[in-house]
Amino acid sequence: MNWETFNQRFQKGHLLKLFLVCAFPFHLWTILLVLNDVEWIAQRTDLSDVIGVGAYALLYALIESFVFFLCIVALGLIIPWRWNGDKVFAQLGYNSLWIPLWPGLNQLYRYKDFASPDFLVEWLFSTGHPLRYGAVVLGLLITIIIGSAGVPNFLIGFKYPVEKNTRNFLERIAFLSSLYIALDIISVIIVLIRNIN
Amino acid sequence: MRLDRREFLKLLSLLPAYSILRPAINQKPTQISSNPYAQNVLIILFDALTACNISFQGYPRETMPKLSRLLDRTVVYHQHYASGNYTIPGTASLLTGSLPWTHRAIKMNDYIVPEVELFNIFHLFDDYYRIAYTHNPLADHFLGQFNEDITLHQPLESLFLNTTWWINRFFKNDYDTASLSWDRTSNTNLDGLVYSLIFSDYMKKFLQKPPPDIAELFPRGFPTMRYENTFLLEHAINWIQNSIRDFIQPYIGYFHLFPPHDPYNTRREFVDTFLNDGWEPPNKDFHHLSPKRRVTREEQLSYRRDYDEFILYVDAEFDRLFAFLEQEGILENTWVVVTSDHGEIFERGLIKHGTIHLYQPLVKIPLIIFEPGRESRQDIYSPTSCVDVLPTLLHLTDHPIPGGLEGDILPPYRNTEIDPNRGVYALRAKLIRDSWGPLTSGTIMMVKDRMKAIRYFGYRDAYDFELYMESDPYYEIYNLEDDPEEMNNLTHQNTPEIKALMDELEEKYYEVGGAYR
Repeated sequence: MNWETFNQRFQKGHLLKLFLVCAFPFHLWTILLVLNDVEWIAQRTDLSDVIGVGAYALLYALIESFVFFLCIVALGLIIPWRWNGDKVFAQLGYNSLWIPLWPGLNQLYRYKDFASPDFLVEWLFSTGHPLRYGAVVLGLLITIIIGSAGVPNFLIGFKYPVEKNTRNFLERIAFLSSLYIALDIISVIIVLIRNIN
Repeated sequence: MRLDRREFLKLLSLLPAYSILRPAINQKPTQISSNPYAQNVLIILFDALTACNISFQGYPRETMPKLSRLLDRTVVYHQHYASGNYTIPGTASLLTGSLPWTHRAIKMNDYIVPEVELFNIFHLFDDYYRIAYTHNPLADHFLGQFNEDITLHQPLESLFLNTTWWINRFFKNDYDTASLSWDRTSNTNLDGLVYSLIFSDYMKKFLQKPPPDIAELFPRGFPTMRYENTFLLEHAINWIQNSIRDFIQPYIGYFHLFPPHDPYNTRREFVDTFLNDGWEPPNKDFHHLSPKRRVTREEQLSYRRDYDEFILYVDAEFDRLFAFLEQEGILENTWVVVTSDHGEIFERGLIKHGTIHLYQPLVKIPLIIFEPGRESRQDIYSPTSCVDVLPTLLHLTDHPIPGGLEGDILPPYRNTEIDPNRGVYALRAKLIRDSWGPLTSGTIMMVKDRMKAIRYFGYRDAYDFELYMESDPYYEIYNLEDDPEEMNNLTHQNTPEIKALMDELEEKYYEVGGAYR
């Protein structure tokens, strides 16, 4: 692979938008949690500390977004070579939204008693099938993979209206995310000011 | 000059050498005293060690059995107070002999004001070889401020197992906030949900992977500074032992070691020592000025037990250091001071020390002085303050005591009795907007003889986080002799003695509560 093939696959404008889409879930999650922490951080010291913690958090989110973006770009190198330009952007953009969703749900599930719906678990166990214990895990995995990865990726790859609508949706996400990047720039300035002697 | 890959790799190989040589590079030339009789000073400070949980200070649990056995050649202070309830004011007062409203290190990340900086212990011992180390970045913050006066300032991260050294390196001036944010980004032990969605958690696990042989020794997890900077007290003690032979005499060493500060991860042999021992502290009501996240009685007891078992670890490691000092003959010409910067609390719905209160567990700290050649134990029961330590050490080592210090020479080293009317003070004013401005909200404490007065002020205006004040200012008065647990607030008795005490603290507040300068 050389720069020429790389450039065929990723157009410059798409790369920037893809980065913005990658940044979206990380920033949204961080901002929600920082807002949730405002009270106890302010109680611990004062409001300037809240702003400081938020600024560092956005800085970490920016770095994490960038690392994730590199992973998504790497992922882009293994999808079919006949897909280029808009379709690659739609495909990778979609994946960069759902992949961070699951670790977020995982955190909620592990630490906030965000339990599976009782009726689903009861139904699975009521089947009495010898594989019912494994079936719960297997069923969840299959649902996750097919539901969030397989079907949408297939539709984006082969159905133009889905691809087009996905792209339009991603454009809006990228625009919203650019506001987060503006916040990141302010955060960098805040961090610099706080660390000047 | 063009740097090719081979040359770059060669230069890279110098990095480990730099990390080893860095302490030596940091050493500064000093004019050491030529007095052959000059005595050394070692200050060993254990962070967040409350006197209220120490066996030889009346605590029912045997938390410091080894140190108890060493006391027959020491001076033990039974009413010694920190000047605040957390590291910043407590350490600043100890190192400068001045009270928080004078040094103005009140809030997180505050520096000591320039006038007081000149009275720092390292500056006043300028004819000594001066060494300092701390695990605690808040204390290291001051060592950084005094860097020009310290001969050897051992880098904080040098005695960590694996560290978030990069926070201290890149965000040194804002360590507390940067590391708090990093904790919330990566540490699931705090709230469960972390700011980072994917990577930091894995990176943290990778960074904190401990060597298995050491991990077995700490089944509750390693002692850590802010959950990331893992360290062993053993390594700090070993470092002191190995380095002390190289110190040029006379020397003064300040070693501010983090245990028993939380998290209370004690060593294997001390785990569950006090489980089912049948002892329970008195049950105290929640305070109406406590935060809304109140800790249940069961949690308080559990945290207390973990803390007490962590003190056993401190006791064992100090004993190891003491045995070394004795064996090497160092104690023959060295004053050893054991103390703390603030206390820790496990009652009234409160745990640790992040609180507006100044109850005894939060401010009463140990002070033990090992005197060269002393053969008997002496117990001092009059109230003393951490600001007294610096003038006392200057007096004991024949240094002049500058007029600006606010402490007194401690008994029994003074020629006269300590003034019974002297007040011993502490302040907590973390919520004020500007540390150089007036003290608009906070808690101030005065201990005088057997009485203690606490004044809460300005909380209603500062924040409305469920802080309900019956009156502003709100007072509490306790008779520590009759009521050492501070359960019976005497303010409503309205006797002349109580009124005089309140008036005196009120006057003190108006004397010191103005803006700096």
